[in-house]
Amino acid sequence: MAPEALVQPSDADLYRHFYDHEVREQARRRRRARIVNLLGRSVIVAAFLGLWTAAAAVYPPIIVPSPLATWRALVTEIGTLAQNTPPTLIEIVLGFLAGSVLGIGLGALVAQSRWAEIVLRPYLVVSQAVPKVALAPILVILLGYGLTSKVTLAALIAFFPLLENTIAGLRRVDLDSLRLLQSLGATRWQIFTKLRVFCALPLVFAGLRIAAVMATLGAIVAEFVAGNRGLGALLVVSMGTFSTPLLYATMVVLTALAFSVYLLATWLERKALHRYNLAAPRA
Amino acid sequence: MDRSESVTQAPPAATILDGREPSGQRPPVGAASRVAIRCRDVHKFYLAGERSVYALKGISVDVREREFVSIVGKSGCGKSTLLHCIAGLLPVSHGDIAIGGEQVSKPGRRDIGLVFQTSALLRWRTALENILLPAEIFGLPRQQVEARARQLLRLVEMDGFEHQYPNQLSGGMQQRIAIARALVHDPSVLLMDEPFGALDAQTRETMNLELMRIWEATPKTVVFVTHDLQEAAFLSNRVIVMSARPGTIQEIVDVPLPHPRGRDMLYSPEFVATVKRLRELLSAQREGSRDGT
Repeated sequence: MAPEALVQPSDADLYRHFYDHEVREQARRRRRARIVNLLGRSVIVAAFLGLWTAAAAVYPPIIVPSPLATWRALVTEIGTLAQNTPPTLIEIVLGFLAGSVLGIGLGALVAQSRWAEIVLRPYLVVSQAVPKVALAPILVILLGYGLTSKVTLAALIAFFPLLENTIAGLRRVDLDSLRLLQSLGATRWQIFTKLRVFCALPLVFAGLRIAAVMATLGAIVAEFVAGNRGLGALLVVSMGTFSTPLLYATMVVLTALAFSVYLLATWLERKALHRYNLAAPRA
Repeated sequence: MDRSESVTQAPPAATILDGREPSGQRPPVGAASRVAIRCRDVHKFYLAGERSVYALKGISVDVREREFVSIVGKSGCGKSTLLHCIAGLLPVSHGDIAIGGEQVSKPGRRDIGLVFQTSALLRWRTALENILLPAEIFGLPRQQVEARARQLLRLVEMDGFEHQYPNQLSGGMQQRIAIARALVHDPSVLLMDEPFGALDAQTRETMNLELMRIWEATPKTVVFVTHDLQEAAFLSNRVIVMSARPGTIQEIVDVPLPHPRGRDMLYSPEFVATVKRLRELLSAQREGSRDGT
């Protein structure tokens, strides 16, 4: 478009111009937002490491090892850490599975009957209030120092959020859809399989996500108490022998483990909700 | 019953599904002489919390086969209650209701199709899967029903949308799917409870024209609850005007419009006169009966 031509731009030209401009602007805004987000997150990591280093400078290494010392322990003790990870992982997975199956199963059973729920409600509330972690010594005495007590505690802690969420999810049906199915003369079982199950899915998966983290907690606490193997036991041993860098390194591994389990649960959740078109807010 | 409408010719026995008028003959319209729905001295009384509601008092009315009957009235006049009683969703306190000579006692009759104000589509099912739901509940053979469901999609002009999820469809489209779902098991009676009440005015008018087209193509016995008098006059052979507290039939108004009915009909003197008559009947009711449902 030479200036001397003095041609009026056509509508198509104008459209093109505005369109390109908006696309460029949008891309620029997105780039800027990404940089700002990354910057903000980096600042938090830097601040965290900085505070840690500062604390390590103030306290002797046996009380607060520096991030670098922790890293060194992670590398040198990798064998010990690797050796103690599988038992903990097995406990987490078995506890999570057992707790989920029981929580969902019992929740589905209780939700079948208003009466059952009314009768059980106060006990469910009380059992929610029981500090499950405090059951660790009881379970170890009862079930021994082996796998069973640890899996049981992990399962028990994972169980409750799922029970609660399953009942709430199965109750939370869309009333219009329920009325429709009733008008068709659907049986209770048909209403369950064709409606309630799907209405419950989002809450059940939210419960699974919580349960995954809770199972990790349960397994570690049980290992504290039983104290013979696993990363939880390693924590106690490191504390007893003042191997503080190893203690910190174990903590890092545990966090990574719990985070992976959480990510897995979140991934499953996203997959399932997407499959059944339940991810977006209700239309 | 005694007032005879322009029953010109008996509709063909086979249900037309392609939505097009049979060539060379006018679409089958008007009611046959056999009674499809018979309400005899129906009373409905219930307690709602602190309140006691005499929702229906001595309702007696017959709806003939392939007749389109609307029920109009102010909020709380019991028009929806009556429809729910006919559908078997609510038990009556006294009297009886029979469909096709068979007493209505519980929901789930296969000769009824229901459409509610909300489409009540299941959001995890595609349009086609939603239409198939009644067939699944009734345990009908999937293959035959699926072919029929696809025909119905064409009838409600939603072919091409069978794999869309409800949240991807507009309100009017969702109601089209709900209508197809109500027809999938080929019921003889279609009960509609303010099916277009939640739609905007333009969509509503379109849906009225569509419903008329569908009904003229596949005439069913229809009971249609609405509070929109134009809608009632446009669609119906007869309009039942109800008054509230207790819900009684004030009058049954014949609609003298011929078929097929199109948009032009909305300006015809007969249509205007019918709407005027309905409006007069409703405004003659005591103002006291105007409150919530």
